[in-house]
Amino acid sequence: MPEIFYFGRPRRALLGLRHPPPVGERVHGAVLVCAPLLQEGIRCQRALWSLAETLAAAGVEVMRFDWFGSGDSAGESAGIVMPGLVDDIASAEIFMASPASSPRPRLFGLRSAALPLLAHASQCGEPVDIVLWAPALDGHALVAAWREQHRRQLHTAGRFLSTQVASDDDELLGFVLDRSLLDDLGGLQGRDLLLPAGSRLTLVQWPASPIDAAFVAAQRAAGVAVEHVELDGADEPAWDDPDQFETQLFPRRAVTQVAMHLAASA
Amino acid sequence: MNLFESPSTMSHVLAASADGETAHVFGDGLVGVISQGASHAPRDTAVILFNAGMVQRSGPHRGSVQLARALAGKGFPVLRFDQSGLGDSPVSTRPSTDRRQAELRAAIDLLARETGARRFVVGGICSAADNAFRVAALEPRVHGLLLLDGLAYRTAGYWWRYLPPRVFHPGKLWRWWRQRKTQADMANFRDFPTRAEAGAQMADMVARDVRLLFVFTGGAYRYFNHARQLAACLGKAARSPQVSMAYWRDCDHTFYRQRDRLRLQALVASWLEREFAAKPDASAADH
Repeated sequence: MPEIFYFGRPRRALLGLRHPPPVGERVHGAVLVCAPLLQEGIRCQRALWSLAETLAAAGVEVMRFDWFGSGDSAGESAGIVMPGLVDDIASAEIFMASPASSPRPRLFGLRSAALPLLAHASQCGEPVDIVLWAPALDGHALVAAWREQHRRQLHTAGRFLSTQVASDDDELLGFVLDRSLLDDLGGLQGRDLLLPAGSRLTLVQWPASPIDAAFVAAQRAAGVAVEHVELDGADEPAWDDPDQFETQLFPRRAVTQVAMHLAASA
Repeated sequence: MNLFESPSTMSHVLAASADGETAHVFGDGLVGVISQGASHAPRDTAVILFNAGMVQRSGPHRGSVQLARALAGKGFPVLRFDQSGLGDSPVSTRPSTDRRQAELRAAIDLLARETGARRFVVGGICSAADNAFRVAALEPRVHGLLLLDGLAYRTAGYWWRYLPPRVFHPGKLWRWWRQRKTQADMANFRDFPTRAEAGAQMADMVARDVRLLFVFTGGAYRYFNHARQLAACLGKAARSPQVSMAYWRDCDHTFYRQRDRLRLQALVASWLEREFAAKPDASAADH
């Protein structure tokens, strides 16, 4: 059963969920799970809960958290900024790694969590072990997709009875956002965020959505060991389908496969 | 103050967030968060928000967090929690009605213990409203219901308003045809009692002086499309002074826009202040 708590600085309290292995189980490894941003974070919540529970049952210590301004953490969505996202990861990593005897957690990110994770990891002075699942590695394309989805939700998806609906300029995907978040994210490219030499990078992908070869080549050239995990079948969610904008994304087979791989390679 | 000061100054587990929120695991492993305003004297009435549909307790577009904080700022403590099998709560092995009732009781016990509240308002969006309506009749500590796109039933008037504009408007007809398969019918996710059961339950609650706030949005257009439809489908109890109703045709089902979330916060806060301003006497609260 998960433990729930607030951690971090009082003015920037983050909600954390710890999924401990069963009592008596030998703990072999730790994973810090970073959820996607904004609406995808909501849509993938139960899938990540399931991933964490499966990992914990296999003896891996897992922690999830809500970004500042997201979920149950302190702050408003307008307070989500790129330096803050990076800071949240650092806070969670430090929290998880204390007491000092605890192993440094493996970092896990799904979809739009990839860029903040890479930004954080690229600043680490020592090698990291990082897993990216279906990562969004092109910030410009990510923000453009968000803007297009927002336009569809307002005008064509049938959300409102009228198609002539407006939102405020600072709203996107149902959230009030600081402009700098979109500017900063839009300016990021995964291939420019190189991990420290000696790092291990695991890329999880569906066959139909291969990961940018230039990103992989750049990381390898920087001395990073890159491993690919290809998921079975065709259960990749319809991430950008406007008619499924509010539905939960829970590809059960893929979640199990990812959990089994992480547990075996912890 | 620099929010990103050195992580070395970071404390470990915090007793509460700076917003006065505390996290809890209660009942059979249910996960929830209580919001309590620091600047307002606590009232004797607290609010319980069930998670909406498959979305976790923070709500669509984080609307439940915003609503909870707004109400807590007015002195009404709020617990938002994940029902079993949803959000961060584990799957339950109990049968449905027993489970819902046990979860509500556990939530009320937690809130009463943590805040001292003695009267409880229960609700949420969509299926959360359905669950609240079902279990409220079984729990005497529930004094109010907040039903956002909650239950209602199609009437002759509904069809009279619904069909002609579509039949005679090619654009709307095309949109309906295009979306009929891709958009899941909300009724597939709903668990309405029969209309007769709902009417009887509503009459019982009104007789018990339970206060009800119905808010219907344009997102409920597949089963609700006029302010007078509530009374038409649920009978004279829906016209009683205990029942308040708002119909926001220009708003969507999950309050996508911030202006709609703010409008909802203002409406619910004013309704709570109006309907739950005075403390009940002890015998009434324990009734």
